[in-house]
Amino acid sequence: MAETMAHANDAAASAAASPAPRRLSAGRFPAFLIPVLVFYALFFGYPLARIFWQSVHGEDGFTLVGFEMFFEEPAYWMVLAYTGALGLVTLSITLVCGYAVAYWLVTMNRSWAVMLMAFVLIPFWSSGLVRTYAWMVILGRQGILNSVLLDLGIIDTPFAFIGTNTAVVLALAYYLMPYMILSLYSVMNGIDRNLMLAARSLGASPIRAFREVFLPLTRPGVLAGCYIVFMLGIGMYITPAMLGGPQQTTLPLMIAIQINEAMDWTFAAALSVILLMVTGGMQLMANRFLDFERLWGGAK
Amino acid sequence: MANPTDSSQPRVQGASLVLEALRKDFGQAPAVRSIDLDLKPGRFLTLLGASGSGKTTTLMMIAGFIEPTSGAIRINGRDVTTLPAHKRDIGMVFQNYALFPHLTVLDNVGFALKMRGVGRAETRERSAGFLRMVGLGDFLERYPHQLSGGQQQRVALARALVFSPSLVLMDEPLGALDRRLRLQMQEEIKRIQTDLGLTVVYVTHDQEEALTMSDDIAVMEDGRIASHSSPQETYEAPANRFTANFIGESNFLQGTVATQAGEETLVDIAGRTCRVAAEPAAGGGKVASVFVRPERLRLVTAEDRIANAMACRVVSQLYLGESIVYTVELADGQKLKIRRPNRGVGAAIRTDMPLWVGFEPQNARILLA
Repeated sequence: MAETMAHANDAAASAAASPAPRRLSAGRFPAFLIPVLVFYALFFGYPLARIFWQSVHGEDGFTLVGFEMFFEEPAYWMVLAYTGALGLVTLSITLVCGYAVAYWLVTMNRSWAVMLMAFVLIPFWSSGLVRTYAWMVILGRQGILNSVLLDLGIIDTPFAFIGTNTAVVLALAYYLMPYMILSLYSVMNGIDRNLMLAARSLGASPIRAFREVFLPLTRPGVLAGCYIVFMLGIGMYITPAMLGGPQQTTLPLMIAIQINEAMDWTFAAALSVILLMVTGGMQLMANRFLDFERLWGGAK
Repeated sequence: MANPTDSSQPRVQGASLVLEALRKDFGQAPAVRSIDLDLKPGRFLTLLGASGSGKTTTLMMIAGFIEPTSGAIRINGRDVTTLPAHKRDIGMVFQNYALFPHLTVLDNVGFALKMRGVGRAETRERSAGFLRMVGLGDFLERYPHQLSGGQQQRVALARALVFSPSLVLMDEPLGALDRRLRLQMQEEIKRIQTDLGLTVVYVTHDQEEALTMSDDIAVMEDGRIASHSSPQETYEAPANRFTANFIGESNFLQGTVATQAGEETLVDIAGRTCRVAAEPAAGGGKVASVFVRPERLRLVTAEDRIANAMACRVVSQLYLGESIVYTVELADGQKLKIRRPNRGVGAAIRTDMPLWVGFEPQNARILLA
C-alpha cells in the first residue's frame, strides 16, 4: 500500500522533474535566416557543387579520369593511407597528453585552472602559419633544438628534423592539442566530484574508481576530441607542407600540387571529393556515436 | 513495502564509533577543533549545526575522504584513522545522491558488490532485493536521470546499504527534497535503520529532522560539539545557551540568583523571586539566564493561578493558526515570547486586562554558559 503511494507520488514528481526540452516553435520559417542561407548558398554550396562538377568534367566534357587515376595508382592510395595514419598518430598523442592535462586542470584549484586554461588557449588565438614557422625555428638545421643538442654534446652534426614524420606529427599534435583539451575539459568539468567519493565509499580503490566511473563518463569528450582532432589533422595543409618532406605528402598537399604544379583541376577536384567522402563517412559514423547536442551546451 | 527482515537483507550488527580529539585544519583555519564522541552500536546520531560548524568535515573524516590533522577514529574498536576510504566498509549517502549517471539503477546499487568480487547473479539478486525494500522494484533498468529526486535518493540509500555496512553516513540526504517527500523519507530511513540495526551518523541543519529521527543529537558549534544528548534532553534541558537557541525557540530571563532552596534555586527576576529547577553551580548574587520554552510559559488573568507569576503586558501577538505567539513585556522591560495553543474564540486572552506570565519551576533552567 505504502509502496503504491510512494510510486504514485514519485511518478508525479518524475513527470515534473524532466520536462521535454523546449525548442523554438516549428512551423513558420524564420525570415531572419534568409541572409545567412543566401551567404551559405553562394560561398559554400556553390563552390562545393562546383568541385563535384569539376571532378567529373575534363576538357572533353564528362569524364571519370580523375577517379581512375587515383584508383589505378597504388602510390596515391599510399598518400591516402599516410594521411589517415598521420591523423591517427596525432590523435593518439593528443588524446594521451590532452587527457592528462585536462584531468590536471579539473582537479586543481579553480583560479589556477583558469590561468592555465589561458595558456592552453593563447596558441589557439595566434595564426597557424606563425606557429608553424615557430616550429621551423625550433627544429631547423640551425634551429634551437639542434643548437642545444650540439652544445650539450649529444650530437656532433645538426640533425635534420625538418622533413621527418617526427616534425610533422609533433607540430600537428601541438596545433591540435587545444581542441582535444577543450573537448575533454568541458566534459570532465561537468562530472560531479562526489561521484568519485561515492565510488570510494562503495569499495573502489582510486584507480578502480577512475576506471569504473570517471573514464566512462568522459567518453563523450574523448570521442568528440578524437573526432575533431582527426578531422582537422587529415585536412591540415600548412604543417605538413612546411615541416614535411616528399615522404610526408598528405592528400591536401597532393591536391595543392595538382593545382599549382600539374594544373590538373579535374584530378585535384576528384582528390577533393575523395577526401570529402572520407571525412563525410567519418561524420556519419560520429553522428551515430556522439551526442553533439549534449556535448555542446544542449540539455542533458 | 517488502519487509526487509524476511527477505535477502540480513540484519547486520551496527558498529560502534569512537572519535578521539579529532581535529582538522585547512591551512591556518581549523574546520574541526576537537571532537570527542562515543556512539553505541545501532544508534542514530545526528550532527546538527549551521553551515561552517564542521559537521560535514567531521563526516568526511569518518568516511575517509579527509585526513584528520590529529586525533583518532575507531570503528568497532579498530583504529581506522589512516585506513583508505574504500577499505572502511562505510555506507555513504550524499546530499545530491551522487548516483552514477552512466549506470542503470540496478548497476548503481550493485556497484559495491562488484567491487567486492561478488558474482553477477548474486549481485543482481541482492541489489534487486534492496531496491524492492525501498519501493523501487519496478525501476531496475532505468537510468538515474529518468527518476525523480525522491526515487534517486532511495536508490542512493539502497546503494549505500547493499553491502551490509555496519556504519552508514548521510550528508543532508533529504536537503534537496520538498517538505512532503522529506517527511516520508525521514520515516522510511528511520524504519530501515531500526529494522537493520544500523549505526547511522546523519548530518543536517534541520532541527526538526534531528529531533524526529535521532537517538542522539550532537549540536556542533564552531568545530566543536556543543552538546550531545537525546532529542528530549537536547530540547528540554539544553546543556548551554547555544544549544537552547539552536533548537526550538527560547526565552532567556535575566535575573540574579538569590539562594538555593533544596530542589530549587531562587532567582530574582523583574522584582519577583522565581523558583526554578535547581542549578547547584549557581552561587548567590550571580547574574543568571533562566531558560524557558515559549510553550512552557503561561499567560493568565489572575496572579494566583500559576507559579512564578510576573505582571506583564502584551506588546504584540502573532496568529499562527494552531497557536498564537504573544510577545509580552515585564515590569523591568524584558520581553518574552509565549506560545499559546489556539483553543477557539471563547478561550482567547483579552489583552486589555491585567495579565500575568508564569512557569512551573521544573520547566525552567538556569544556563550559566
